[in-house]
Amino acid sequence: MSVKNGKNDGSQGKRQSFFSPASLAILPFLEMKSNREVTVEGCKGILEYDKEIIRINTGGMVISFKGRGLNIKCLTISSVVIEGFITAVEFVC
Amino acid sequence: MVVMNILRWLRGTVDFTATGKFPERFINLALREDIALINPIGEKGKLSSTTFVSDYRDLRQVARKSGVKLHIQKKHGLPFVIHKNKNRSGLLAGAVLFIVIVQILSMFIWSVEIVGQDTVSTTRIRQSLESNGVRVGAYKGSINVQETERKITLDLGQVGWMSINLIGTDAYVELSESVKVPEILPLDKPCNLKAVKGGQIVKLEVANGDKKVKIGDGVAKGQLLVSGIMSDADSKMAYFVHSSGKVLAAVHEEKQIAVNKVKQCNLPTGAMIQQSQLRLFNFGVPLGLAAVPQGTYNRQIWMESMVINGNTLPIDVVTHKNYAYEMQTISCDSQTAEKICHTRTALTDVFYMWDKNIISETAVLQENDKSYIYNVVYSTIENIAVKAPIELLD
Repeated sequence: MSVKNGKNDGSQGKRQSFFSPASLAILPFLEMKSNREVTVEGCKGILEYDKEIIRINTGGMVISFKGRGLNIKCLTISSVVIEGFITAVEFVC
Repeated sequence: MVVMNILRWLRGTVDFTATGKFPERFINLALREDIALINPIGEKGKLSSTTFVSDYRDLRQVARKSGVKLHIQKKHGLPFVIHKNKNRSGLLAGAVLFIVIVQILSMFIWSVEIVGQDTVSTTRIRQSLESNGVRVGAYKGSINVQETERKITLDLGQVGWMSINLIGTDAYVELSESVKVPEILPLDKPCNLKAVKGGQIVKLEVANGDKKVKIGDGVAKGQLLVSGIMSDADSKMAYFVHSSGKVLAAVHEEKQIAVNKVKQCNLPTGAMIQQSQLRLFNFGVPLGLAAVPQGTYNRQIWMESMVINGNTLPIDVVTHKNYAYEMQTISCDSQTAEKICHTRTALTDVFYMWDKNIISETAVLQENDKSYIYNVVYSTIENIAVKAPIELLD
């Protein structure tokens, strides 16, 4: 995100800190099985839950999954598993 | 998944719907309160899900905060079953009684199965087991398995190894019978071949040893046939060998069968009294009023055990069939006596002469005051040589 906002001037040292294990740990982790199932770790809350759209707050961004027959298969305090026919994934920063 | 479903059923679950403006807020608050939502299905302004009974109470507060209304759709699980039947104390007492009875009954032996016996009679093994405490209805805790195994092995004698396995309510008795090893003279021990019967030699097949007889010679019982003492032609020194071979001889064997002209014996009268008994462990209930017959009788016992799904239950129907016998005097004529003797001779041929080459068989029926005597003379060709060890003294 910092790259997009232009805060990072492209120096090698700052890029290394962005991809450091500590930085990666706070970023959401997404794992997709084709377009049928997606696991999101680092979920902070559900913003919208419908059969056509599920929006998830991950702290730094909102991830929207659009599709048909979407359903939350498993739900815990920090992760969510969505199944259904996913047609689009949108990251809103 | 099956285990999960069982656990859910034991804890009890509630299917509910949450309707309102922000069901998503309801999900987030529920997660923060550590309330598990099982299979949440979202629609516009509505959420259908399942939760545990214990969590449902806390969910009301969450619903109030998020501005949704909860509606119970269905209730599942044991807590609801118990709640439904809480006034039916008899049902609970029956369930407890059932568990207690099953626990008590499982402490006793319900069936005894014996495997591995061949020549030893099953009845004899069963009697030995019963006398040592292994029987239907015995308390499992009172059986010292290792000691019982040792005692029964010594009691039966012909058992080489046995094991009593108490599995559930069944006692499985596995045994292997001991086989008597024939006495074999070691090949390094010197021996002679001697005649075990008298006869006339027809063939000599000597592999080792010094022949002392030739074909056509008549020999008596115990006579030396092949010597184990040989002499070296060059050094003229004697040395010992382990004699071996066959000496076939024509042997005459006589057997006598006597049949009394008049004899008394117990014969069935045709009358039969049947007694049945229903047995649970060692307690029996008669299933009829038939009395034990008077006088001599032959009793046959039939036992049928109840089996469900391959498991033998301790419920048996024992049937005693008592056949009445009566002492009768039978007179026998010569034709009947001959028939009896023929039958006995045939049995002798099958069971005692099976390993002998019978050349001829002559029979004569004689008669005296009290009985008929049937003389059978067998002419056989058989191996009469038997090994006799040479004892060497220092």
